[in-house]
Amino acid sequence: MNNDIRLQRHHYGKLRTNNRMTSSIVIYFVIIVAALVTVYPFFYVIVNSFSDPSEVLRRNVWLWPIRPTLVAYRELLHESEVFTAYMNTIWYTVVGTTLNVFFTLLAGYALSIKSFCLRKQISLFVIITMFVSGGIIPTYIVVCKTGLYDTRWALIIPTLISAYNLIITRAYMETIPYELTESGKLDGANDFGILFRIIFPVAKPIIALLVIYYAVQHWNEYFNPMIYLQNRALKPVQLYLRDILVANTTAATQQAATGNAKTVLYEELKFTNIVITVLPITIIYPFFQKYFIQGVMIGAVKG
Amino acid sequence: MVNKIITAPILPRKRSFYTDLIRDKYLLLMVLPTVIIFLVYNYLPMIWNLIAFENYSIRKGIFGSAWIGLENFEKFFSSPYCGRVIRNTFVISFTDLLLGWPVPIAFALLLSEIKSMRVKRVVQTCSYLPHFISVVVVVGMMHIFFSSTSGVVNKLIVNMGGEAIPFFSTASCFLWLYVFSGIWQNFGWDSIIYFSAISAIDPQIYEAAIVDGAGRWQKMFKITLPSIAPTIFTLLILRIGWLMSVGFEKIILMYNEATYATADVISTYVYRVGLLNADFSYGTAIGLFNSLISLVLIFGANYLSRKLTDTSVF
Repeated sequence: MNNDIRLQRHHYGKLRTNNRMTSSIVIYFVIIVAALVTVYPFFYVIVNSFSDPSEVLRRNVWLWPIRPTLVAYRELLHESEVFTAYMNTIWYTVVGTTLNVFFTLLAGYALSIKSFCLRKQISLFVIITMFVSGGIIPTYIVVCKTGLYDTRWALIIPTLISAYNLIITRAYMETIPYELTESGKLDGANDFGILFRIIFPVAKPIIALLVIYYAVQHWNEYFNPMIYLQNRALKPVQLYLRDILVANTTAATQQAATGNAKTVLYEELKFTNIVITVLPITIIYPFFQKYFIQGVMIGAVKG
Repeated sequence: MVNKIITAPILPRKRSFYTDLIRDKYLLLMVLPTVIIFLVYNYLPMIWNLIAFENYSIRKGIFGSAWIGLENFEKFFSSPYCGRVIRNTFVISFTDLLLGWPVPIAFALLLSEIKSMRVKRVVQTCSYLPHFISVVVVVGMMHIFFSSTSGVVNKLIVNMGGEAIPFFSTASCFLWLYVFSGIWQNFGWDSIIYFSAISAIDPQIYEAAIVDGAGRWQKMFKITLPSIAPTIFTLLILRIGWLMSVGFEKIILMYNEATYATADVISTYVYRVGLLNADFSYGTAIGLFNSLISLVLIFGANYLSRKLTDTSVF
């Protein structure tokens, strides 16, 4: 009898470990497939950007570069349009993000002070814009009326402060112990002094978060540049990419008509252009990973 | 003597709104740029929605143009495009919601079963990556993979003896291209919140379950899933609130005349008639209609959320 039970237990345990093994394999399989599916398109693009142009044109490259070459990257250096567009994107990202972060921190700090007399009213004033918007066309008209049409500032000023980022900044600032602010007050500093000397050094996580959020937004933006910019010299790289990847317009037909070596390269240039656009973000973002996970959590708590 | 000190009333200084403003002058200075920007670029456009009720011309301005009441709205409701764009808006956003909502949950559940921290971290880093890529690049890569002449997918189909499918100019393909590329881009990022909800569950509950003989799947469905249910439902309700804001920036890049029948949504229609054809009044009227439905959905979702889960956004 006793033996029987022991035997049963033994069998049962073995069955469970077997089950556990199979389910572990299934889980690992699903997770690895998911990871591969997300990464493969990028891998495909990179591998193609380094391959021989004629092989790229025939779509023969899918796992490893064929006759690796840098010819497309060298060609890219001669494309003055790409260079201008790339410099513009860097300008929008650096200038835009700096101003975004500065003004968001200023307002976020002020709105986190419990005794601030207009705290509730201004917070509400900001939060309402998250749910009600003026719409594309009225916004377009106002941007034009304020003289920003076809200037660099059209991409900086109307989107200077994001309501969502301001609210998470306020939420973060509220978690900073009041004693810190108090000690600054006792030393006779005003609010600007407190913000710059006491709050900034302890607010690094939120600053990192704002930098990555705003910078990615500027780097990836195409819609506003598309509707606000006419001048080719001001266009960011995303618009250039749209022309060669999606619209497949002017440049393609022109080059096909001339029928020179560039036609062969044209396909490959799509890949190299994606690589140079995506690369900076891909390199930077893993370093910010722990910050934006915090950010998602603050955002979730605040709704 | 002692009594006197105690009873001496400490008169609060007379406070008025004005003295408060003086006291908070630096704080006011700090929020001033924000207030100005929001006033000009968020609130002023709301007032400019008035042009939906007139025949606005740039020359005559907002006050000089003729008021025509609801004529623009009537024009929209009687146009052949009205039914199409409203239907497409709802079909696209509901499909996106129904298929896109469970994926990050399943991903977070499965990933939390993996014990190796290194595998976990690598997989997470990979899965967040597409979230940081611009729509232009995502749609560009879709063209590279799905183009009818040179796409890899069609090359595979042809090699296996099939016939190439022109994915981008086939109306019935648009919805699936849109929805699945959206899932591809965001499932990893959307799983972050479920993942942290799972890691907040008290490990003692699992230990108790193991003692009671619960297996892996039992733990997943009887402990993990119920524990993160509030997060799941709050996010579902939030997404219902945002239904009307379908990703029109992506649709503008993806659609063409051949796929308008299934791809054209209210906001892309607003963009075409309002900005490309410069019919400002008509476009604004349609946009206003879109915002109204959107508001109703947001308040409805918020009401539901308060009733069902005791959490609300406002």
